[in-house]
Amino acid sequence: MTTEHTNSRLSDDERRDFLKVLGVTGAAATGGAALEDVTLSDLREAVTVESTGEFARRGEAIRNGLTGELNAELVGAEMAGVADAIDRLPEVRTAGIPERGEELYAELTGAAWAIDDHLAEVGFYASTEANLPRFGSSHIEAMARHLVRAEALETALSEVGFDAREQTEAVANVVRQSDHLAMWQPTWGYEDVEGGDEFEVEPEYVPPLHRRAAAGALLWIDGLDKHLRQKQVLITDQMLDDGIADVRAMLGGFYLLSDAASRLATGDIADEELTALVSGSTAMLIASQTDLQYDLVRITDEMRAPRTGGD
Amino acid sequence: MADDRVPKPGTSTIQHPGDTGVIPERDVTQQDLLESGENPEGWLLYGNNYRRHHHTTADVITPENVSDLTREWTLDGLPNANDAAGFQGSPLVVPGDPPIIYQVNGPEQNRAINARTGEILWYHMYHPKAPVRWETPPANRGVAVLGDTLYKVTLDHGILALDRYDASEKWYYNGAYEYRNEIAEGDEQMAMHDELQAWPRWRGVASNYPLVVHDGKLMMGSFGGEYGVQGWAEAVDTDGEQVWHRGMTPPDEWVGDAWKHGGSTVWQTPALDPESGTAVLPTGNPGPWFGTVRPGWNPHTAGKVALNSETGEVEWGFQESPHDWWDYDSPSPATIFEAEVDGETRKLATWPGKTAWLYTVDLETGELVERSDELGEHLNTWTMPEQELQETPWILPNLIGGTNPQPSAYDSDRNTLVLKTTNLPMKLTWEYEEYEIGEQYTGMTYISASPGQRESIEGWNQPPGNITAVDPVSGEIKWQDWLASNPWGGTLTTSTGITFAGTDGGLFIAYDSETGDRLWTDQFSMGIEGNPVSWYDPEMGKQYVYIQGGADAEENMITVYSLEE
Repeated sequence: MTTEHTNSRLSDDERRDFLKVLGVTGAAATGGAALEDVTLSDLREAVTVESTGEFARRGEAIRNGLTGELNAELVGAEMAGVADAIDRLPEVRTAGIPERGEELYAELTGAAWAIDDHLAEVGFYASTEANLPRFGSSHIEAMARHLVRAEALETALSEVGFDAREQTEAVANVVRQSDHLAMWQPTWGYEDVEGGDEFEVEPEYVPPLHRRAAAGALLWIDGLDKHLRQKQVLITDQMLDDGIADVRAMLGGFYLLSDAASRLATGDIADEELTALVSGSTAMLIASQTDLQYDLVRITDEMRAPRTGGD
Repeated sequence: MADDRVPKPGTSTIQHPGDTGVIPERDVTQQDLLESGENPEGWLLYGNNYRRHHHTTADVITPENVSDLTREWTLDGLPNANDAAGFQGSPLVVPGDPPIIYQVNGPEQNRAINARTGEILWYHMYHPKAPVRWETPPANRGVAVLGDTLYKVTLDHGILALDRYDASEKWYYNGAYEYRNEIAEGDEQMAMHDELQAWPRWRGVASNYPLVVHDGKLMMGSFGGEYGVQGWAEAVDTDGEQVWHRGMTPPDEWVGDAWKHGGSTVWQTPALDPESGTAVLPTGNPGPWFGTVRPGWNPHTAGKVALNSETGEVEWGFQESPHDWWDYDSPSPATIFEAEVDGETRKLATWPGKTAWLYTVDLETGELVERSDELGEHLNTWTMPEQELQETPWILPNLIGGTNPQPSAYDSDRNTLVLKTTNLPMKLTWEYEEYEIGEQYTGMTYISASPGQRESIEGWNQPPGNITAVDPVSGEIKWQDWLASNPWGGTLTTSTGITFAGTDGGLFIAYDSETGDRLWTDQFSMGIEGNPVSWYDPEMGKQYVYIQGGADAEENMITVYSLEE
């Protein structure tokens, strides 16, 4: 798989690759569903998870690595704000290009930023980075299988209106971007690259990977109002549609991450599931911010609106 | 001889090889600067006006007689040629009897020259405290003048004020004393922040950018984008006191502390609209090139930032390559102009990007009015680098182009911007790089297609460079002259409809601005990297054209052409 990226829409080949990664081959294994209609539910029984205990051990380590107390009430309340932001996306799309002074997109992220601040404060990001593996192909494959098997992703994303097709695409898109995900290394991974063996060392200027994924996605959303106003002459309806879908995926990924943190706070999540959901939501946050760049930010001549010569 | 009369971290060499007494006493006023673009007798600002048109109203030379242009005088093999590489940039010309040329070349070298004879009257070189890589020393691209003072930036992030009659030093401003809200230890005039003196200055990553002097203030920027710095711009008054300082990586728009090493340097000169006070600054790439450690848009990198020149407040920022991975920063100076858009006269800013498109935006809002036809070819543009160089496809534009620091020239009579483009395929790959003070902080390996490789690259159909004329409002290309190598240096337009431009192959060309027809050429033995300038000398009844060239080689030249009316 190459890291060449065009836009967020999955091709049939990419769907087939996703099924191969899950070890699902043939229509019988998907209950006879057409390729583009396959859901996580269709796949659940066909996917096997070889439990080595690794995901559980990592989840436990995340829990033990917190330096502060997760506030379930705060996270839960702000998650409602994230859900509300996702609900508002259709009206944001209908509004089109934000007028000067309007912050249609930036107003979507207030609740998410509050969660991000809290997660950073209690050491959630530092702990997840310290205890989760880098995005290598084996981890991504195991993560995808866990997400399909565990139902937790479906449950959380259903709460914010993601239908079965969107849920499947979210996982498939993560698998599609496995090469790109590998570039998002935890800071200790960079130390490893440098030949050091001090995995715990974190260069002070590089925030933890999971915070980079989460806050990075929020920064992309916050900047869209200005971007769309400034580049309006290049923007098409297709680009706006794709961009909204990417923002939806970012906020969905953030909601999934928040859900894992919230349930960790209340003791209502298994360690194995915690690993899968944190890894999966982080991957979703990374993949969707990459998609946004190719759908709406890096505008080629082929995708731009026709030139009007300033008229 | 060394001159240390004003306290400064480095030392200076000042020589008087000629008779400085011939320099006419003349107080260059703010009004003179405002009118420079309309005054055919001088060239008082980088670009000749604040809006950076690189245009002259001198009208002796026309398309009909330009073929009669002859060399009036030439200087070549200038002393310290090896150290003086980087004959980029352009001089100032102060009108008088005789007119005086204030010439620049890198690093830190200036000369006052009798414009009629080529006699060097004084020579000034600053030896910065910061290390200089003498194998490829940086380019000094221009100076500023006001009253009887000449202002130059230095490679240790300072400003030197020189008496323009004899090059004696008046004051030094230490721009390296404060950095990232940290103060260097020691004397304010001498102490430099550790991180700003740790790396060798060389042509690729350092510049002495031409200062802008306006309304009692000098605007300057910063460099070091490949060394993990935080870029900034600042204004200093004409007594050498800081007026404002603006960091170019706003911390609340970056994740964590990534802003501290985020780059966004400002190492080419701003365009400035004197009426509104809006200055449009070119900004460098984000750091490091390896993008996943700095998620988000990475404002204000790789684009233009408009500042209120009085206060330093940001008015808008426009990015060409948000969250850049390819070194598609935006060093080319903007041009400010007025034109009719949709039946309404508007103030606009335009510039060619490394992305090989021309961007024209509303000066007040930064909103894009039009993006042009492609100036060079696009191939696998925006493709993410692979982990191994050989697996990465060939990518166009190159990181050294479309357009790099070369200033474009604008002809308002013909609503035409003339620019230079690089059209060479490249490959990149990424690698993690830990920040160490004074070490490069790029996280990327890069190659440009060699002549042998070029033949096999599918989708690359045109030669390595061109000179292009564009209508910046419609975005339509009016003409292109494709070249066998990528051209450097700036362009010059005249009110009579001529465009002057040099090439990497040493050809100095006069084009018909409207058609692109070559009207006249002159050949040199070295590449031409300077920006042509022109003026009219009423005592001699001649129009002159100045060009300088030479790069890393020992060869260099300054040539002045003339044509009598």
